[in-house]
Formats: sequence, C-alpha cells, structure tokens
Amino acid sequence: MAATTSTPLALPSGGETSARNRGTVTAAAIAAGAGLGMLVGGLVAAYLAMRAGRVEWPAENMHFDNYTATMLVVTLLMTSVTIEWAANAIRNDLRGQSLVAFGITIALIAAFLNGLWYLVDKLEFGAGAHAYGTVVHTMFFVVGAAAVVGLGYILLTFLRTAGHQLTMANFALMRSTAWFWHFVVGAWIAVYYAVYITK
Amino acid sequence: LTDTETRDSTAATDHGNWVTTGDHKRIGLLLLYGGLLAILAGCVAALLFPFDDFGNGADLWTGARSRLGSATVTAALIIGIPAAWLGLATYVVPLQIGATRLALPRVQAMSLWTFLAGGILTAVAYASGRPAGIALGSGVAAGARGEHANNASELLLGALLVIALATFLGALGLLVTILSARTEGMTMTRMPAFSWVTFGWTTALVLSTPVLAAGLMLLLFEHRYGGEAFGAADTNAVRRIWQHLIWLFGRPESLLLMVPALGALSDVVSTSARRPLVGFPVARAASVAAAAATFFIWASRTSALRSAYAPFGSVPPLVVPALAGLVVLTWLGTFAKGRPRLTPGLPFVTGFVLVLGAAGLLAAVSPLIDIEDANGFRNGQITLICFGAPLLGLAGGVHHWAPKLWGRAAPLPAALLQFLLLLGGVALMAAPGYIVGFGGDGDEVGLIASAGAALTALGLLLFVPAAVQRARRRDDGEGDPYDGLTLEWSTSSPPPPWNFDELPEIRSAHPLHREDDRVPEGVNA
Repeated sequence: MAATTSTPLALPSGGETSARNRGTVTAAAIAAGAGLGMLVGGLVAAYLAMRAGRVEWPAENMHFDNYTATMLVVTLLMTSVTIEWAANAIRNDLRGQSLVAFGITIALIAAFLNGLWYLVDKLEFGAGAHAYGTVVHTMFFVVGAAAVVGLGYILLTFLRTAGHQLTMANFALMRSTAWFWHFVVGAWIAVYYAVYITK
Repeated sequence: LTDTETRDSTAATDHGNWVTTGDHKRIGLLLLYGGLLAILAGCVAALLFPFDDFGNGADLWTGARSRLGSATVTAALIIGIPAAWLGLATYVVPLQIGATRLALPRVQAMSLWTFLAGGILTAVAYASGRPAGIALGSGVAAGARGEHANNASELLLGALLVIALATFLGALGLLVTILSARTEGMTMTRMPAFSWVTFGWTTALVLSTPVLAAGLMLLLFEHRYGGEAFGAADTNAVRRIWQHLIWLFGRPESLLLMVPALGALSDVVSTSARRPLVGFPVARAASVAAAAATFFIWASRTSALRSAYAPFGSVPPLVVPALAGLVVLTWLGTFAKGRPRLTPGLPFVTGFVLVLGAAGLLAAVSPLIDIEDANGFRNGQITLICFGAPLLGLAGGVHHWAPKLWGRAAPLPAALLQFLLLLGGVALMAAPGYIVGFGGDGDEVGLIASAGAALTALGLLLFVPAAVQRARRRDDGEGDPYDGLTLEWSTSSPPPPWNFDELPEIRSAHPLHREDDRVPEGVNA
C-alpha cells in the first residue's frame, strides 16, 4: 500500500501519550531493575556458593566494619524516602520542596559513595589476594558503579526540575529515577546481607 | 505535541542522519548489517582453519586450542546472530504493533554503538594473541594468573562484557517498546507471532545477560589481579559456580538464537499460506514457552557434577524441542488449510525444519550408536542448532521483510540460490564434528569446515545487492508483494519515518486478513 502524506496520522492524543509515557517509564525501570537484580543476584549467589566450598571463608584478614556497613544501609534507606519525597513534591507542583528533597538525596548518595570507598579502603586485601577478595571487590564495584549511574540519573532529573521541565503532568522521568534508585538500594542491601550478615 | 508536529519533528530530526538517529528502521538496519558482517567475519576466520595449528578437529569450535575456532564462535554466535536478530526485530516489531517509534530510541541507539565497540574490541583481542581460558562452551573457566593470563584474555573478557551490555540494552529497548508502545487496539494477544516471540526472548535476555556479566566480571578480576575464584577449579563446588553463572546465560542463549526463528518463520508460513496460522494461540504459547524453558536449561549439565539441581536437569532440554515441534505442526496445518504459494522466505522454512529435524534425529539415535568422541558429536549438534537453524531462520525473516527493509522482495531464483548456499554451508560446517564424533579421520576436518564457511559467506554476500539498491533509493518495487496479513504491510515499503499515515482497525493479530480470503474448512488449494 502506498504512503500518502496528506491523510491524518493515527497517533495517540496528548492524554494518551502521557499515559503511554508512564507505562514506558514503569516498564523500563522494572526491566532495568530486574537486570541489575540478576547481576547482583549472580554475584551474591557466587559468593554464597564459594563460601560453601572453601575452608577459609571469610578471609582471615577480613575486618568486618559492621558499623559503617550498617550506616550505609541506613543512609540508602533514607535516600529511598527522600527521592519519594521529591517525586511527591513534583506531583503536587511543589517545585521548591522538590529541589530541597533532591539536594538532600544527592548529599546522602555522596555520603554513601564516600562510605563505600572507606569500606573498600579498609578491606586490607586486594581483589587478587584470594577468591574471597575477588568476589567481595567485584560486588562492591558493581554496587558503586550502579550508585554512580543512579546519581547521574538523579542529577539529570534535578536539573530538569530546576529548569521547569518536569511538571505535575509530565513527571515520568522522576518516577523512573525513583524506581531505578530503589533497585540500587536493594542491591546494596543484598550485598550487605551476604558479606556482613551471613559472612 | 500535536500529531502533525510529532510527524514533522520525526522526519526533520532523522532526515539523512544515520549516526545520531533514533529511527528504529535505521537502527534496525545498522544492527542487522553489523550482525551479518560479524557472521561473515566468523566465516572468514573459519576459512583459515587449514592454516591453524589446532590439529584434532574435536576442538574445532570450543576454542580450547584454536584461536580461529574461538574467533568464529565469538563473531558468529556471541555477536553476529544476536545482533542480527535484534536488528531485524528493531526494524519489524514497532511496525507490527503499530508503534510510530521505539519507546527508548536512545537506548536502542546505544545498543547499536556498544555492539560496534564490542566487536572492535573482540577483533583487537584476537589479533593480539590467543585468549586463553575463556572457552564459553567449556564447563570449566580457566582463570588465574600464570600460564592462562595474557593481554588477549583480558581484552576479550572486556569485549564480552561490552557485548553483554549491548545485548542487554537492545533487548531492554525492544521489551519496553512491546510493553508500552503498542497502538490502540493492539493488545498483547493480538500481537503477531514474531512480536510475541520477541517479547519472550528479550525477556529471557534481560534476565540472563546480567548473570553472564557477573561471571565475566569475576573472571576478569581474577585474570587481572589473581585471586583464584575460578583458578582452583579442581573442586566440584568451584566448577559449579562457573557453570551456573555461564550457563544461566549460555544455555538459554544457545537456544534463544533459534527461538526468534520460530516467530519469524511463523509469519512467513501464514503469509505464504495466505491465511492466519492454524492454532495461532498454541503456536504463540509454545514459542514463548520455548523461550521461557531455555531459561531453566542451565541446570541440565550440572547433573554431571552431582548437583542438587540434577533431577531438574533432564526435563527442559526435552521440552524446548517438543515445543518447537509443536510450532512446526501448526505450520503444517496452516499449509494444509491454506493456499500455499512459493515466497522468497519459504525455502528457508524448509531448511530450518530440515536442520532441526536432522539434529533431533541424531540426538535421538545417539544412544544407539557407538560415538567415539562425545565432544566432536556435541560440536556438530551445536553447529546445527546454534548456528545453522538460527542462520536459516534469520535469512528467511530477512527475505520475508525485504520489501520493508529494502523496498522490494528478492527475486525467487536469487532467494533459492542463497538458500542452497546457506544450507550446504551449514551442513559442511557441522560435518567435521560428526566425523570426529563417529570416529572418523580428523585430519581433513578443517578443510571441510572451511568449504562450509566459504559457501555460507557466499550466501550471506547475496544480501549485498539488495542493501546497495536501498542505498541508491531504487525502491520502485511493490509495497506489499504478498498481500500480507499483519500490520506492517498496511504502510508503504520502506515505511516513512513516522511509520503509518493511518492504521486500520485492529481486531486480531491479522488485521489485514479479509473475510473473503478465507478458505472454507476442508478445502486445500
């Protein structure tokens, strides 16, 4: 069938487009989060399997800084709350409040990355010291990388909010940002549970 | 944006721009070309087999001793066929579901360019040396420092990670498009076969590729820094870790390469038979179930390691061929009740069934035959199932949608010649494995594989004239030479940047199927 350019397009109207965008965002965030979950899940599974098969596990020179690790969990849980605060503020057209929530979230994520770096620095063994070192360093690396990606995503959303690009009617990006960040929080909790709780 | 503004901005943004384009048709074409080029590169590597030093043909494909064998597998199976399927799906699926664009065009574009980066890194890795200890088909990961570690290994691991990312992004973009960008009336149950199967295999890829990435990361860290995560692979426990990580991806991947063909060829069959697929819901469910079943196949080989998963290991490998067989039965029923005619894609359906049938028959009789070399036999089977069947299915799909891709269908004689070249090439490439497996002389197998690779490469090169014709914009062919039944045939060929000027009312998976086309029950034309 030949194409013509004069006939009207069968494209969705504005309202339907917004609904479609929300669907896209939800689907994308859940699919990407599932991927991150499988990545971290694979590493945690490898950790637990190695733990079952090794005589020396955890490594003899492993220093468990439970206090810092637990504080990082608490910090990330707080970011989950503040990012939802930011989302709800946009939904209610409270831009100023949203920017404050974003600021707190970004500061907490910076604190998390700083704390994670501190934990890695205090490990006292490298990735090549033994199998335990390889898998622990890999897990910390993956969570750190995911947090950096999430931070970039949040900064982008923050700037678009400040630039009046996210509104009550168009806050799909905000929703997807929050979704992705929740998966990052879940990833750290899984690693924390494997390394610091089950040991 | 109003509808007109959306259309105008789509046209203005993408006109003449192939590098930063977000148009699914251009991204799809580039991915398809890149995938076919990678398969061609794999064939060229296989052409050089007689000059390699692998000696015994048993290790022809595993990469245990042959750099060329490993390069062939990586280029064709890890990069080429997945990229080509993603490309074809990126082009066709939005048209089949009535979408004007991809849901995440930048993600799909990122997948394209990440594939390119991964391909270049892979080529550099193989050019710089023989990557040791990264035989993806092997049950054991040889890692650690010392004799196994070299720069080529680390480069290849990095390249594989990049390719895993590209595969994940491509699958993610398609999955989200299917979930959220369908047009009004196009419910999930009204999607055509290829879109349904794409939904199944992209979901499996989104879930399994990150697990491969986890395994590759651990192996890369070990190669780079030491640590013996896999290096001390003497114990079953450690071997199991690698096998779970690699097989959770590898086992689905090996069959997922073939699963999209079930969807693409289902559309070829219904178009050729001029009627919707007989038992379409069954075919749809079986195709998606086959994709889902591949996800559980990782457990199949763990029985050899006395794994706790062993009892579950024997079922999924039987389920997938059974489901594929069910889909083939619906094809036969469709031909019986339709008015079949020869279309360019149809010979490839025959080839696909022949190749899968041969592999199934050999698997069925293998317990009754004295197999001298199990690895050799397995390599023959892998070549047929993971390379031959997907390649024939892919070629069939490309021929079927050639009017959409390039403006016109290939002449029937050209399609038949290409079919014969690819079928012969695949058979010859698989033959060395069987020769060694059945205790034959392994000295000349490299030569036979090279002959097969030459035929396959020739067959692939027959796509070049069509691509050149598109580049010259000689799209003076028919928009719909088949009286197609699915939505993509309701627009021009190739489609405009905005895909559709208007859409028909969608009440089924075959919205263009007219009542008067229906063949009365029991009448065979």
